[in-house]
Amino acid sequence: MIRAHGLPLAAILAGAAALMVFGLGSGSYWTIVALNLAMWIALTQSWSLFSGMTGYISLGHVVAYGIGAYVVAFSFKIVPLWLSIPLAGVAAGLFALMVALPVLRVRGPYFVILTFGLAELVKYILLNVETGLGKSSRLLFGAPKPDTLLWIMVGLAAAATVALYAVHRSRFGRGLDAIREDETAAETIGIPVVRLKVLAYAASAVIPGMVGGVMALRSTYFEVLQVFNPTISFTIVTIAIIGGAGDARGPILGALFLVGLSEVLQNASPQIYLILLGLCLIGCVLFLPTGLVGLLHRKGGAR
Amino acid sequence: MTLLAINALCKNFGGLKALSDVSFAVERGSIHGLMGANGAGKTTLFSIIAGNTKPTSGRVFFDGDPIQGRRPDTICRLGIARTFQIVRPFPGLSVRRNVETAILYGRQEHVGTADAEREADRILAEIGLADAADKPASTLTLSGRKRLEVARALGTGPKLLMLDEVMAGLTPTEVTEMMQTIRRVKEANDLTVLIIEHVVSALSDLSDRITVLHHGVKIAEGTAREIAENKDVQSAYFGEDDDAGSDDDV
Ligand SMILES: Nc1ncnc2c1ncn2[C@@H]1O[C@H](COP(=O)(O)OP(=O)(O)O)[C@@H](O)[C@H]1O
Ligand SMILES: [Mg+2]
Repeated sequence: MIRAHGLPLAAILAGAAALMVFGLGSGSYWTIVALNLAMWIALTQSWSLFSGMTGYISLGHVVAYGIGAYVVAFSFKIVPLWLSIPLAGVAAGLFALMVALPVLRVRGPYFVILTFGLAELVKYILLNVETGLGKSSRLLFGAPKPDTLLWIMVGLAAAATVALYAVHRSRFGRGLDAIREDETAAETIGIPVVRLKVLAYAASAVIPGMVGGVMALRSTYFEVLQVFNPTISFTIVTIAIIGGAGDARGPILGALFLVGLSEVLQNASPQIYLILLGLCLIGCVLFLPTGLVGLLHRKGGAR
Repeated sequence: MTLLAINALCKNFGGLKALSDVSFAVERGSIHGLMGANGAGKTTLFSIIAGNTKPTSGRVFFDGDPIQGRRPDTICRLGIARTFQIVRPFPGLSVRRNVETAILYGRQEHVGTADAEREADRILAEIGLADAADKPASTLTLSGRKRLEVARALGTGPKLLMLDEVMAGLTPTEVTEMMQTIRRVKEANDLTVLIIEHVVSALSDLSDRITVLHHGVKIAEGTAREIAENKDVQSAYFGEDDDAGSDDDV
């Protein structure tokens, strides 16, 4: 599909980037919108790297986000941000690496439920830890301004996009494609399926970890229940379904759509927003299984 | 010289003895046939050799080394490739991409993506699938899918090619073509072939040697002529319902 680009990735990237740069120069409202857009792009591209490629649908990606946020909040004013944000990514990646083997033993709906449950489990463990430390919440005084955070987030969105694009074209990506199509056939033609799945799962957690760290700074406030919000996991999957997870353009289109819809409707009428979002989701599942990005393909050829 | 040696192999599924104490050897450079009614344990034997299933007991030697119980991807890279009786293409990938993936991962040496694409096209031409290279594998006919199974197995660069009923369900013309393809591919790539076939005439025609399984037990081994004259084989094959047992795969 990479070869059959109807609308080049570059054009979509440029559009999203223009919006974000616009956000930088035009006061706080657009800065926040652009930050949200970049955040969802970064999260969904990362999710796609694992779930889009392998077909194992993770409904618990917020766990990486939450761990990253915790690392940054916990080390705030102890470790400098240029170090703590990457560390947030490393911590999320290492956590994913640790749990990958048991988690990836199950497939299909069981995997979906397990990832969801795992994120909840980590949430309540950290909640207990924080209560034990006597910290029901942490205030992050002196966090960088939204403008600065927007730059970091745009960088993360770009990195996640490039990573997904590169994986799609690589030998690694070919292996993940085969795993999604038929795991037994994949291992029979020499693909080390377990190793590839574990690597993809861990890789897909790194950038969300850093995103979580940045978002903790953005709200200047950390509370376990707020960052481990399952809605974040659901929204990632929603964006991937609406935009399409077939290539790196889908999550960008999906994020543009969702952030746009939310800006137009959420404040005016949250109910209508949710109803419309639900309808779009159902519509995509039923009539547009490859998402918005599927509309860009000239014809539905094979990859 | 022996390439593959099966040694006292047993496989139980619960109370069912799918394979009981099966031993035989496959000569390097030969075409070795595996015969037996449905449910005889032929596919199970392939699955054990390829590492898809663990044996209950017994050993498998490839090139002199024990390989039983190793992972399928490791065994593949050692030089054993199998096809699936119930075909398992990567349906959403193009036919070329199916074979390319096998080339990228199945070989001991590292192959770049550009070389893999060229090599895939060469194999598809050899197998007679060149025209379908860009189509999704899901659009192939049964005959095309069986060919793709063979092409993908060849992509892994095997020394031993194991074919599981690649002619089943094909028209007589397609069977003839497939037999020619197997012979041609074997010579061109210097392969050893272990082949399961229900079409007895095709199997006899192709095989240098045939092993016959019946209810998981080896009842005969020899040349096609010896097998045809074997009393045990005759009573096993023609003395009872040929279609007994199920056709479970993997
Ligand atoms: N995974 C499995 N679980 C339980 N029984 C199986 C399984 N695979 C095969 N069998 C049984 O083992 C026997 C041999 O099957 P199989 O190897 O497919 O025979 P063949 O390929 O000779 O037709 C059959 O009775 C079959 O039902
Ligand atoms: Mg069989």
